Amino acid sequence: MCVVQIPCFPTAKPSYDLKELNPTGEQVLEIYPDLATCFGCNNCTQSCPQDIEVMDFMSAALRGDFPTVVEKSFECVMCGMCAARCPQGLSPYNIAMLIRRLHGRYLLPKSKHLEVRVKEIEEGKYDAEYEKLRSTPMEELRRIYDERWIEPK
Amino acid sequence: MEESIRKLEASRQRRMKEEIPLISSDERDIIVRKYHPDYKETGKRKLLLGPNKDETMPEELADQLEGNSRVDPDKVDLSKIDYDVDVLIIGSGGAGLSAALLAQENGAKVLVATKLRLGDSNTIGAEGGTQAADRPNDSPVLHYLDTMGGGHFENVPELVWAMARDAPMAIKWLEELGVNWDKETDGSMRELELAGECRRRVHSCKDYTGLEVMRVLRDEVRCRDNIDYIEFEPAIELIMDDEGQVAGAILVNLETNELSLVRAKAVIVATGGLGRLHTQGFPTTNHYGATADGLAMAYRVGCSLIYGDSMQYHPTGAVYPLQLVGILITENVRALGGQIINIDGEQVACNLEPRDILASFEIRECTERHKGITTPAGNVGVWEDIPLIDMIHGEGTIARRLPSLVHKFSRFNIDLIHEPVLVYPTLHYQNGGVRMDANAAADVPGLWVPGEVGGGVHGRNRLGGNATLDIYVFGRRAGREAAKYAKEVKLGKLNLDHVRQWREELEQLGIAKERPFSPMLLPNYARQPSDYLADLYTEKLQPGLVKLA
Repeated sequence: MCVVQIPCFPTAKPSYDLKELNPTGEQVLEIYPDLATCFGCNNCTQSCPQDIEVMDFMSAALRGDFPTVVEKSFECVMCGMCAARCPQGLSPYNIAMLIRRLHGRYLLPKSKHLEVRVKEIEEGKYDAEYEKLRSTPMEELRRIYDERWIEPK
Repeated sequence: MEESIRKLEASRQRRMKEEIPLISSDERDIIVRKYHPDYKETGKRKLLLGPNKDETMPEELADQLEGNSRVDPDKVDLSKIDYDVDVLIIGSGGAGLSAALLAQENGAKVLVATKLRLGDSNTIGAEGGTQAADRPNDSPVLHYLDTMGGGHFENVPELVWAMARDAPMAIKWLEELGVNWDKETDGSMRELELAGECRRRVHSCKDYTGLEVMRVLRDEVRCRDNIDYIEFEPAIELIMDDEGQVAGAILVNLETNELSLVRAKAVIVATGGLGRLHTQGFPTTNHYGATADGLAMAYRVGCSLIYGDSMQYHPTGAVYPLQLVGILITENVRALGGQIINIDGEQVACNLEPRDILASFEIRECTERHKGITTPAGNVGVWEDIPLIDMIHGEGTIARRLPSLVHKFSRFNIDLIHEPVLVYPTLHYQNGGVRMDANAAADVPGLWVPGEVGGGVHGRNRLGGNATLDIYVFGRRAGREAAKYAKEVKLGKLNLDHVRQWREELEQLGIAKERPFSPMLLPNYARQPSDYLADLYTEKLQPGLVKLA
């Protein structure tokens, strides 16, 4: 086997603290101002080994249309080919990453049942039940397991 | 092949309604003992030295555990330290980077050393998802019970509980870092039920779950101060101090063979598993770096392994085309209704049997019963009926829920939406690993082993969705604990006495020249003698002091 070192294409990668950002197009432009210089040459799309429509998500990014960016960039492996080919020196994969994270944290609706469960666990609601199961003899445990109700699909 | 596809298509309408019951836990033990590769007598041997001496291990792993060090301790100058940090993390998969973030948050100066690029790992290839009991009709206790049963009740209960209990917190943590979990419009998680699970609790990001999480973790690591990382520099040996504490590691630059010495108050080994050792001759789903490096290094400093002989052979590895042999077909396919079918168009077993059970059924079908399908290259497998999913859930489901899979096969002109795919067990996961406590601390002070390299959580068989959970839960715990420990520990004088002792023991046993160098670092698929035949002493090694495979 031959291992050749192809690290990710070197591009600007600003640091940011997600907690302090707003999930808006303006915010993205503030962090990646060069985004506005994309002139739609489509080199990025043509170079993508994952067949992603990179230019399409770049124009969605400019419009502040985050869900489209997330959907279109889902298969991105962050190889950096798009950045390597961009005549404007943009790094579409990093821009998509910022938008994906803003979307996951701020724009996807919060999962209420998750919040409830986290709170219950922190309050120790399940500890006693676990302790009981922990001290159950093996044969009984196997029976409980075999007879447990299995939720239909 | 075409003929058996027609039989499969002919039986589809009938099979859609056909329900094969799950077998009981007693019946499971019988079929596994008879057909599972873990119970084969061949391809194994007893360890001759180290903490697990006299225990039987797969030969490939035994070779690594009993291997020669790549370092000559007499030629390393331990006074020349290249990096001096609080917490050293070896490996940059899900466990390593979770640990890095938590260690940093807890005040540690962190260095991540990784063999390939940052994030190159099995995590990035994880497709199915992550378990967490967060729906109203579910509970961490049920998650615990499922995991114990799936592991044949041989799991370490404290570890299972730690994992089941922390699971919803891990999901929330990742959500706050910006992971796009699959959700309904009201925000509730869209969850799947994988084999051996009594509730729907697997969280996914289409079938790119690991990729999505890894992208986020990597981005976050790059955004933070006080986390540095070095790529293409795997660790080849741990460094100890005279108090018997782990106190750093020796790294090697894969390009120049130069060594770097890291002194660290705490070391987190998060090197993952060993798929690339190809135990029992199986192909693997694992990435090129999965070569048991952490197991070998930890074993040499005196850590024992638990269930080191137990491997997970995933029941749905690709068999055709040849270029994809061994790669993973996610268990979500089965969760969505995909069935396992023999040459006559009949179901082999219930599609929701746990992995080791279904793998055993498939092996029985293809060997003893001769009901497998043979490819032109001579490989044997059974069908996984993927098109059934669109019949059950409506057209477009496969394309929407399994884009990675469809994409992968479309490159070989195989249309998974309309055609079944041939599958056979493939080496997927190391169920056991280095013995650890509920914070992933190993037996030797100063060392943590979160993720696949650690053992005991999954007993002798892991449920789907528990591997990616394991890495976040124990990665976070290890990072937090290691940072706390680093604040208090006083390091003594560094030494490599354990390497010296190891070499002496190998020589006394007369096996030094028969054993390879370990860690393996990269698998060798070339048609040339591997370093098994190299002789540490007669072959003059360069000043780099390192023999790379």
